[in-house]
Amino acid sequence: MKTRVLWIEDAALLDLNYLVGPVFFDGTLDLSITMSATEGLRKLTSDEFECVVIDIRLPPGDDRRWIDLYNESGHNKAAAQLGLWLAQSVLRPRDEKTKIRLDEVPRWLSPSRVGFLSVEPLREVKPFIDALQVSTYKEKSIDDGDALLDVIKSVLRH
Amino acid sequence: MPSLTEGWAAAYFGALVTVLVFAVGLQGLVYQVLVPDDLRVVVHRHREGFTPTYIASTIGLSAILFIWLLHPGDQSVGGSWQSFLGAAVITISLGATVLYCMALTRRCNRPAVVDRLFREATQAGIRQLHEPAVADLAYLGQHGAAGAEKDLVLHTLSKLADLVQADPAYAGSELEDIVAAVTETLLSDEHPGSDANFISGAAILAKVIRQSADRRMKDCPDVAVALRSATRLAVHAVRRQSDAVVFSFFNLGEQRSIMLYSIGIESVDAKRFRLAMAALSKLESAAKPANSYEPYLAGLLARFWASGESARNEAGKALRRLSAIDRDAFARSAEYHQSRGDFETSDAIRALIADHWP
Repeated sequence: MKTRVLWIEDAALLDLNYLVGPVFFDGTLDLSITMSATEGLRKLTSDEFECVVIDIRLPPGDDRRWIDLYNESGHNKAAAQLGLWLAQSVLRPRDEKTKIRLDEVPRWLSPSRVGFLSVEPLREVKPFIDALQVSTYKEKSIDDGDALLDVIKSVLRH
Repeated sequence: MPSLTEGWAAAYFGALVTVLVFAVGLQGLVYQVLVPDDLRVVVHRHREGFTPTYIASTIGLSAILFIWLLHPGDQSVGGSWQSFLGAAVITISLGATVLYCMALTRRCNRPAVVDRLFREATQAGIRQLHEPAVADLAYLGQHGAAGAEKDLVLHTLSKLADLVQADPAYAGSELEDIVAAVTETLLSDEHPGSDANFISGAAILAKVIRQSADRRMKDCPDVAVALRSATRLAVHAVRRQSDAVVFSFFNLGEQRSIMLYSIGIESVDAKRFRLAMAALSKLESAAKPANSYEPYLAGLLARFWASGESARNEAGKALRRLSAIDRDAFARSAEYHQSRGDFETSDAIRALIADHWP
């Protein structure tokens, strides 16, 4: 039985060879990819994963609530940080800071199963990540083809 | 007031429908003739069709007025003041159509739309680009004709990138959408870019990389996306563009092993050995034993080795120059390519090992 991993990242298809290749060749992981906050949330509520890797700069997808949040942030993914708000919605659904409240929360999901892989420097998002109690964060960098695999392994170690 | 007979009502209604259909149809025709498809899509998306709507309403109102004044079916048609007013209404309708055409040519020509998108993209500040505006620029780039139309979009994207990178708060990760727009503009299936467009695109990416280096951010995410985009464009150019285009990607100021390797492999496959030799030469200059270039250099050499006698001779010369990259390095490189699914290269490396170190 392979370990089920979900990667929520809008540029995933562009990075297929570069970042996804090593994950498929690892041989132990069953990787699913979604490319927006809406699709990511749908997948999280319909399936169960041992590891969920989230990009911070996600597009909203077709759910009106995510679109509104994106529009309120000036139609800009970097400013909207939907990946963080998605994690907030599923990990801290009752927190007063949570912007999108869900009808159905994936109960299997805990902070230890979540990791972030994004371009934001950690110092910019650390307070948010710490509040979510997520301990795996990796900045994307040039020529680091194993970045996704590293995040997955780090999450699975936890 | 005319006498309200059935004949009058039928004539009134028939004439009204005819004039309205003419007015709306004329507007649609003028719009279709004067504004290309891609501009229409963008203009609609930005709800800039309000001027045509006002003018269509004017034409519609004029039509109703015209019919009301002439009272078709009424015996009084033809009175001098009514004829005069009827002519005035028709003149207004035609004038509105002319105004509509002028408004269309002024508001919906390509430079004007691109300029509006540029302003919209930067309205919330340089660091927070309005992404739908950038996406529309990408759309116009993708659907514009090769040459001047694509160059207009590329020039605007270049201006946007310059503004973002000149901002003191630039953090090195704001240009992903702009770089993607450059790529989409050039790699469109329907309207691929010309050689000159590709060279402009390479210049934009080179500038992004250079300006990041100037700000001591040479490893920032924007440089990574620029290099990935350059790799895609250069590999595409090997198949479809002139040598000059591919060489423009060799001069980005910053090269990465995977980019040179990808250009080299594509050139070997396409039998464009001048380009393949250029990629090999650049990889060779950058390679030091056991650095990240090693598997790519070994892979490209092996693909040369497997591509005919002349290519094999050149690979042999390079192998003699690169004595520090030994059999073990080639064996490691074969594993590396196999682990990334590049079986053709890993097989070629193993064949080279068997031939060269029997």
